[in-house]
Amino acid sequence: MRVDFLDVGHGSCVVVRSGAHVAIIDVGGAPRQVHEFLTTELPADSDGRIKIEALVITHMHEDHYRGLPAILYDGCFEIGALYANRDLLPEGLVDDSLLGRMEMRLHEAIVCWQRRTGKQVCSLLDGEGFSLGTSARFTAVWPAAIPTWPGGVRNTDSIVGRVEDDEDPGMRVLVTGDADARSFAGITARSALAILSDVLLFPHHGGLPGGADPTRFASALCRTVKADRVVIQNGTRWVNHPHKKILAGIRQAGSVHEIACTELSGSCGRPHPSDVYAPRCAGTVTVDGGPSLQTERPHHGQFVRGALVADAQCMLS
Amino acid sequence: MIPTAPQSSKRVLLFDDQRTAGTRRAERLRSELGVDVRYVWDVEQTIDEILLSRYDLCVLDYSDVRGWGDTRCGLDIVKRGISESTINRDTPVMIYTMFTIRPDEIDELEHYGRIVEVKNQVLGMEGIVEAVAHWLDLPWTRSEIVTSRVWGVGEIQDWSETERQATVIVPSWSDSTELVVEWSWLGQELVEELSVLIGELEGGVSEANPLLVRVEYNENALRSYELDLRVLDRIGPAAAFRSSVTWTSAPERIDPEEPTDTPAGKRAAGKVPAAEVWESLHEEWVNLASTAGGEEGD
Repeated sequence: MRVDFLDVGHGSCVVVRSGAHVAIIDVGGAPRQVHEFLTTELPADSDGRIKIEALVITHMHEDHYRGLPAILYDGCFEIGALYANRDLLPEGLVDDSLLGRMEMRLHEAIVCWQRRTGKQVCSLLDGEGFSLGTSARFTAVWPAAIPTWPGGVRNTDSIVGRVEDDEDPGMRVLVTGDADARSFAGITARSALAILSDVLLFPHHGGLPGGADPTRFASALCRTVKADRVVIQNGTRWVNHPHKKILAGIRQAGSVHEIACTELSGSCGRPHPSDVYAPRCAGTVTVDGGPSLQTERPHHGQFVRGALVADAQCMLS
Repeated sequence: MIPTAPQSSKRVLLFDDQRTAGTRRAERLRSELGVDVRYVWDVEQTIDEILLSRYDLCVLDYSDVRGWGDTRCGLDIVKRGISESTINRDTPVMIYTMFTIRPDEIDELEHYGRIVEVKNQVLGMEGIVEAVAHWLDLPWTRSEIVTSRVWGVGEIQDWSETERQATVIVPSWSDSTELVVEWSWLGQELVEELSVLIGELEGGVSEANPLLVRVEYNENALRSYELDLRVLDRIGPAAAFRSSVTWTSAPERIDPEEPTDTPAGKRAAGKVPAAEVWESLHEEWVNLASTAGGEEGD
């Protein structure tokens, strides 16, 4: 199994491949970069069609679904199943005009896709999931069937799930959307085994966790998941992601031996936002069965330890 | 009902870092002035598309510089927005920010483009329509508030009279913990910004689940107001889509407590904490959750 955490700026996109089988979790961030990766990296059949067996949108925030309309409209993608959280259609919305332009565009795209393919959007709740070939699977551990928190907070109800492959026992990957402390309070009330993982995609791009103390949150999450590698999909635009206190919490837990951010954090020296040549950190991060995170930019290790980033926040020692 | 203006040939480039508000500002400009609006919220991602077009007016509305770390960073973005968006340096540029731009910085900005207006404030919905109408010499008059609703009161903290802004702390059951609204004395601007604010709460507020806003002013004197909220009489296409999207449950149910005779299961079993450790962890999460407020944005 191979899992790519794409460098898409501020946003999330995770591509899972097991043999010829492909699943994607979130398609946020820069749509062009998502589309380019999918069309150049994924295998196409003789008719040029790219098969994606499952596409999951963890929750309805633009940095997690922004690239979806382009994928749904593009006839070259054949999507087996589209999974979305129940906040796809926010209940209790008083005035539909409050939906942003992107949300309307998303709904249009989904309806067109449904009409074209005859398929329906699937919900994905705790305990549900899908297989990827004969050995790999994605299993959701959150959200619960009954909303836990009044008001339906989107981050809290993010789909959280684990990707795993029986043939690669050392690379269980926990994908967390923008889950917050309330999500993990609900998850830990249910199962101990379900979220133990080797690699953790840190929730909310390493940003603040819904009002909970960030250091305590990060520490508790690392001790709960027991991952030894942490990936953060961030963008230079949100210059403080990941938050320094989040990184302090990850260090405090003591179990993580590797952290990689897809882009350089503002906490690591604050890149000049108008400088297109600013350092870009790890780029797309890959997990492919080895003990370490593979980075798109081979000089990443030297980069964070060298003179370019004097105060690299991912340094664990 | 908001009147729809006849189509104009004018093209406006609108930068606005608050996406929900920016989308609605762009819609208002289109519907009320008939101008062709290109709305951009993220300079980083759309710069190529912007470079291909010419505009009659460029509006930069950067209200929220908190996420950028400091005000200088926000100013750099404004510079880049100007320099990379206006091929024709004669395109008039209006800048509205929450942070102060010094006179020497304005001089510097003028090297990048033709700055026609710089204000240390963020315009409300109608304010921006009015400003664009003025600079493009288009006919426009303020519309009346068409619908009034009372949804209650809430808390505004860190209010500053000079900067006309306040931080609103909304209760934990809503979708956001911290939003900035423009302040005015129960006037049009505050009313409008609150309607934007509700948009940014993304459906978390309703009559049954009201947003509470309490306005604090004048040296600790605390007063509560019933605020009129503009409810736009527009039904977007999403209304139709809502009933069109169909759902099914996931086709597969997977037991998360998998057998430990697989390689993955054996590895996981080695990591499983003792029951009392797990209970302690769960307790820690419950405590963390109880201190958590609302959502922290995207």
